Amino acid sequence: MVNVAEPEVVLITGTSKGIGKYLVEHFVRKGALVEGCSRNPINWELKNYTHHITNVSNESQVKELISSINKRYGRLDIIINNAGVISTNHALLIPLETVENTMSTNFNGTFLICREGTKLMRKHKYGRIINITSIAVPMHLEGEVIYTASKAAVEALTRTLSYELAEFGITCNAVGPAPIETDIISNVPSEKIEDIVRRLAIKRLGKFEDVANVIDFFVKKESNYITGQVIYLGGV
Amino acid sequence: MDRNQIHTLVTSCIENLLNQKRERSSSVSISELTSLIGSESVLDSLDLVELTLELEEKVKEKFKISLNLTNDNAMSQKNSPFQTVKSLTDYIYFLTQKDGKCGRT
Repeated sequence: MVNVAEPEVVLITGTSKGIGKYLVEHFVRKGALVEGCSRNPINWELKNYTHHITNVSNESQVKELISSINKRYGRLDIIINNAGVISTNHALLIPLETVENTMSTNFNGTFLICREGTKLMRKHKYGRIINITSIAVPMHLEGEVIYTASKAAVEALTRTLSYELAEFGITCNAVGPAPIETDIISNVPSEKIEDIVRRLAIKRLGKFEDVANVIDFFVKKESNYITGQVIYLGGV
Repeated sequence: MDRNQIHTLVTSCIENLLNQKRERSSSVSISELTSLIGSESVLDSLDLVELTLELEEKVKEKFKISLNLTNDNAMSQKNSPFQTVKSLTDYIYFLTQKDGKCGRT
């Protein structure tokens, strides 16, 4: 079991900007030791934060990332799989390359981080994995077919992993944000975003704090009986 | 690195795994013929996962070789390398001796 007096070691993927960067700052403020990654270098730094250049869909790079965390701390308490890409297009116009790239980052990347991170987490019989999905899944968003399919795959992975990892003391849950003002939606037409917001029970754009709120609940030590769950924001 | 070293490593990993889960008075003796899968197996499915991960880690620590014991070749073999202690030892020894990249990461 993790000594409650020790700071938690948190890995967050896709931390160069947006939700990932916010979560880095959030967990550092809470006293955690945070490791993060993105495909490209970042132009900011933060005490108790270590950045890695990692493509999460590259198996050897993911192994190197986890190996680096193991050498530095000997353990890993929390994983937040946030790295993701989106492309908007009608299904009939989507090149196969786009399909492969989206699935590779969003699903393969999540799987690889879960697999390799779990190998480290299991040593202490404790872990919290949170995968980022999207309200695109329950809303079946037109124009987002591959993104939606990749996140649906992440949700199936989350639910099944929750069974396979329970014996290691690891919970695995997912949070599905509503649209938040970040780069990932900057290429989505504004009228489409407005239409999505109109379909929510709580008719507003999401905030980074909304996502952090749910993650905080999932990662609490007291949440050790909560696993395989997906919480969508905004009321879908 | 010779086969005896690998056999010792495989046996000790299995014994440690089993002894963690059983009373000390009923510790299991492991031989080359001990089954690791199937109805006669001394391991359950989760034990096999743990054993695989433990062996990959220990081979890397002791011999500085990165192995992937669950690569497609191993998973598709009609005669699984995980059948007995002997077959697993032979398989690991084979992987560590190969010049090619099969099984190595």
